[in-house]
Parts: sequence; structure tokens; C-alpha cells
Amino acid sequence: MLRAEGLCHSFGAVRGLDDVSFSVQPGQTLAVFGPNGAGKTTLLKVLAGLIQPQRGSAHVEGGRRVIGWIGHQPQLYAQLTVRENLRFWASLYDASPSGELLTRLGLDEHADRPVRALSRGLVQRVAIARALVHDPTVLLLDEPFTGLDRVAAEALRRLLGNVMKQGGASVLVTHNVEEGTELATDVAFMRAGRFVHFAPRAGRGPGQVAEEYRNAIA
Amino acid sequence: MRSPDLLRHAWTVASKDLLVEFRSRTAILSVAVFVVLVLVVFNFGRDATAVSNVDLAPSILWVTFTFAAILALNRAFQLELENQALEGLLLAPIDRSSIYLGKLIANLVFVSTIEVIGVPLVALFFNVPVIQYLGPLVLTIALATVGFVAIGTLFSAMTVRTRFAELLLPVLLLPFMILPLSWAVLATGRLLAGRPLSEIAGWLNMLAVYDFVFHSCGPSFPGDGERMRMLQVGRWITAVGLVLLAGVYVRALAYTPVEASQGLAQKIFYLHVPAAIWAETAMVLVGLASVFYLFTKDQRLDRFAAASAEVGTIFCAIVLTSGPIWGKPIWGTWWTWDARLTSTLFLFLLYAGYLLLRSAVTDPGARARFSAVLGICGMCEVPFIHLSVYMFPTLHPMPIVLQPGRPKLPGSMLATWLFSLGVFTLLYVGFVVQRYALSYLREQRESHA
Repeated sequence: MLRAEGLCHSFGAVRGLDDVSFSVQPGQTLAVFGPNGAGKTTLLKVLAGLIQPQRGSAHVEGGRRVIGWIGHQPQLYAQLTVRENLRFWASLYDASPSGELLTRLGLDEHADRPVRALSRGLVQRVAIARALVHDPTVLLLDEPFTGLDRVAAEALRRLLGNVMKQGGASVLVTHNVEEGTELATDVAFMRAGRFVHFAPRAGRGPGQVAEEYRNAIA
Repeated sequence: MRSPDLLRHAWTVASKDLLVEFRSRTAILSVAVFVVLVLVVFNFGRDATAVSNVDLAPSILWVTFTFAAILALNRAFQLELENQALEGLLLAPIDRSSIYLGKLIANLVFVSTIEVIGVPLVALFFNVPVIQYLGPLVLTIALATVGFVAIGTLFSAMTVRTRFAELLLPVLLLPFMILPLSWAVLATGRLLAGRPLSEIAGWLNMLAVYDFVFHSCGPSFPGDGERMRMLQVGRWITAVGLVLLAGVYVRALAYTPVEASQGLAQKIFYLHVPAAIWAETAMVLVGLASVFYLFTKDQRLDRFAAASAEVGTIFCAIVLTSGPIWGKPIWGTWWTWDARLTSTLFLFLLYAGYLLLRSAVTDPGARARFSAVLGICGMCEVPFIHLSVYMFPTLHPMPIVLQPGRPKLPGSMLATWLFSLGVFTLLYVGFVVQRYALSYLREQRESHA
């Protein structure tokens, strides 16, 4: 469903990706852990087609149409209302925003308020709705829980679970090992643009993964 | 992608931009106030006894529109940086040309709104007749606006994620705007002076050609050891070229007759004209390499384009230095705002903008892509520069070698000139080979760092 082969990319003298290869099958969630500057966000951008790798290739079955992206920034227009934002993003995918999505994220009563008038937590919820507005089957998640309140974090977990149950796949990058491990079926550790560990989670708990991560990165 | 999808997505982007602007109204109000302030400043800065209102108003009108439009164009893609919406747009399964087209539509609406505010104010402040020439005036404004907004939108997209984007956009854009603006000023001046429409038809035709050319550019969003040897070869070719250049001047001074009316000053011709030909040719080669780069994504083409632009910049500097040295004894002045001189200065600025853009974008892929688009635009500008002596009143001589019919040079002068042209060709090749090899070696060193 999602495949990367020999990805290499540098920013001048800085190595972003160094020979990264992996694949993710339907129903799988790969959690990639690494310190700042390890190349996690570059990896997601290459998978999304936002950066063309200097060597290697990335392939997402179904192309850009099936990708849902949650990043550091909400990718919303502050002057537009929640509904106008979702309508705009949905129309780029030839879709229409469903009322159910707003309900599940607790955004019904805020739908006609401009995004600039919302709290940070609510903006994050709208960002999740934006990423899922076209029913994506491949999710690329960059620190998705940052800034989320408890309700929104729970709603996001449920929505991700639904996508996986329906045969979707996801790649999640974070430096929060405990949070990422809970969702993962596969785990990778990244350092200086390379995968230094890549294996199925296979029953390992967050504590064990965190211990292995510390040893691998040290 | 099918055209209906392209247009539908373009309209989606444009209507979103206009809705955002309608909600905030910050940009349009700021620019409207800016227009009023510029007109007021001009009004106090002019000497009404020296230049009549009708002569002055066209320049003021277009200078005001130019700076107001640059403010607007700068905002077009900045809007997308807020909350990184640009990444979302690039990720969406739409043709990237539809993003450009959507921004173009929104920018046209925005700049037209500024013009709707500006024209009555110019008529009011400078007491010029506008109503009776409204139709042709609107046509002139529309033709000029469509051209520079098209190229401005394209450059705005390219510079938005660079350092100093707000400064870089005018640096890149103004050299391209000068020609349509000068045509628009001339046409507006003739209109306001009550001249017949037939007198401005030529300027309007030029504006239409310019629009067509630059609209065609817009949607084009479609071993170390060996290199060390290449560097050595480049150095040898350059060294031979420099020795031969000395030979050109031995021949020019000792064996070529002195021109009767200009005397010794004419000897600069053997340096000036070959350098000018290669300054223009280098930009054409940058453009051609850029076209092929966009199709093939072959990094060698991007490297060649960069090398050609660097060498073209040097040749352009030679033209701009040797021209005034030749002009002073013949015209009695170092510099005049003559069509050919000014357009060559634009070419130099264009090269400078190209090199600035390359240094401002860090991602190699984006740098190559953006530079390619600018290189193609630069190539499209070259015919206008070369033919400027036919388009405007000029002090500069008409072409005497590269013109229809036989060259108007005596045989011995022509032979010396051809010798010099050959030497400049050699110098171009030598410099480009060196720069190409050096940029390859630099890339290799960076990727192994």
C-alpha cells in the first residue's frame, strides 16, 4: 500500500534521508521515533510527494488522492469559518464534508465560527477534520497529538482505528515513544536520516520500546 | 488533467482567496491607502510649471499601479504560508497549474480593484481627461495588467518560500515589467493628449504579444576525477581565449582601418558587440536548458543553465562598462536612458535576479525548478531587448552586422569583428566548462559532508 525504496535526500550538507527502505501493508501503522533533526518530517514529506527524493523512490497506492496529512501546522485559513475551510479542502478532492465528521470531533456548534476565533485545541480538531475530509486510506501523521486536549486525542485515536479497520495504512512520526507505540503495529527508530531499527511491534509494550529506543539512539 | 477540472479547481482557489480578502479587507484597504498616499506625494513633488499634467499623469499612474501591484502580488502566496496551507494545496490531487491559475484570477481581481480606485484619483488630482478616452484607456490598462500580473504571480509562487521573499519579488519582477510599463505609459500619454487611436495600436499590439508570451510561461509548472579534468580543460580554453583577445586588439589597432567619423573610440566595437551578442545568447541558452530540464529533470541541464547565467552576467557587465566608454566621446555623455542601453541594464538585472534566486532557495530540486521557470522567462525577454532599437526612438546605432541583408562593414573591419566574435565564443565555452565542473564538484563535496 505504501513503499519506500532507497530514499536519499540532503539539504546542502545536512543529510535528511540516507537509504531508507520499508513498506506498509493495509491495516498496519508504522510508528517512526527519532530525535529532532533525525529526518522524520522529511520522510513524511517524501512519502507525500512534497519533496522529490534525490535518490530512491516512494510509492503510495492510489496517489495523492488517498493521502490524509496531519502535520505541525493546521493548514487552515484563519479568516474562514470551520465549514468554509472544510468545504474548500473537500472540493479540491472532489468530495463534500460530512456532518458526521464534525459531530465525531465535537465541532457541530463551532461550524460557523471563523477559525481565528477558536481555541488552540479546537483548531487542532478542525485540522484533523481537514485531514480526514476526503476519507483517506493512507494517513501520514507528524506529531499528531501535539496540542490536542484529552477529548480530541481520544477522538483522533478512534478515527485512526476506523481507518485501519477499513484496510487503511498509516505512518506516524513522533518523539513521544509511549503515545506512538500504543497505535503502532510496526516500529522504526531513526537517527541522522537512517533507520537504525525497523521491526514489528510484536507484543512489546511502550516501556520496552522506549528502553530499546534509548539504547539505539544513545 | 482535463481542462474543466483545471478551471474548476482554479476557480475554487481564486474564490477562496477572494473570500479570505473580503473577510479581512486588510490588504485591499492598505493598498488603497497606499495608492492615495503615493498620488499625494507625487502631487507635492512635481513642478507644474515644468511639465504639464497630461505629460506627467501617465508615468504617475503606472508607477503607482506598479508598486501597489507588487504589494498585492507579494501577498498572494504569503497567505498560503499562514498555517502551512501551501503544503495542503501541494498535497491535494489537483494540477499545480490550477493553483497558479487560481492565484492569477484572484490577483487580477485584486489589482483591477486597485486600478478602479487609482484611475479616478489620478483624473481628480491631476485634472486629466479620462472619461472621453475611457474605452481605449481601459483596454490599455487591461492589456498591461494581464501581462505583469501573470509574470508577477509566477514569480510570487517561486519566491514565497525563499529568504527575503518580499525583496526578491520586485528584484525579479521589475526588469520584466519595464517593457510593458513603458509601452503602457507611452500609450496612456498619447491617449490623454487626444491623439488618434491608430497612434497607440502598435503599443497595444506589443502588450498583447507580451501577454501571450508570458501567459505561455505560467502553466509550465509541468566521477570527480573526470570533472577535475574538465576544470583543467576549461581553464586552458579560457587562457587561450584571453591570449587571442589580446590578438584581437593587436589586429584592431594595427591592421584595421580607423573609422572616419568616430576615430579610435570605435575600436571598442570589437569588444562591445561580441560581448553583447554572447550576453543575449547566454540567456537564450539558459532558457533552452531550462525548458529541457523541466521535461527531463536532468541535473546536468540545471548546472549548465547556472553556469551560462554566471558567464552571461560577466559578459553583460562588459557591455555595460564598454558602452559608456564608447558613448562618452561619441554622444558626449556616459549614459542616456536610451532603449538599447536601458534594456541591456534590464538584462543585467535579470541575470542578477536569476543568480539571487538560486542562492535564496536551499532545496536543490526546488532551486532547479524555480530557476528553470525564471530562465525561460529570461529567454522570452531577449527578443524584446534585441529589437528595442526598432521599437523606441534611440541614439544607439541600428545593427550593422546582425541585420537583414549584407553587413554594412568594410571587409577588414568585418574580419576583425568576426575574429573577436570567435574569441568570445571560445571564452564563453571556457568559462562555462569551468563553472559547470566547479558546481558539480561543490555538489559532490556537500553531499559527502
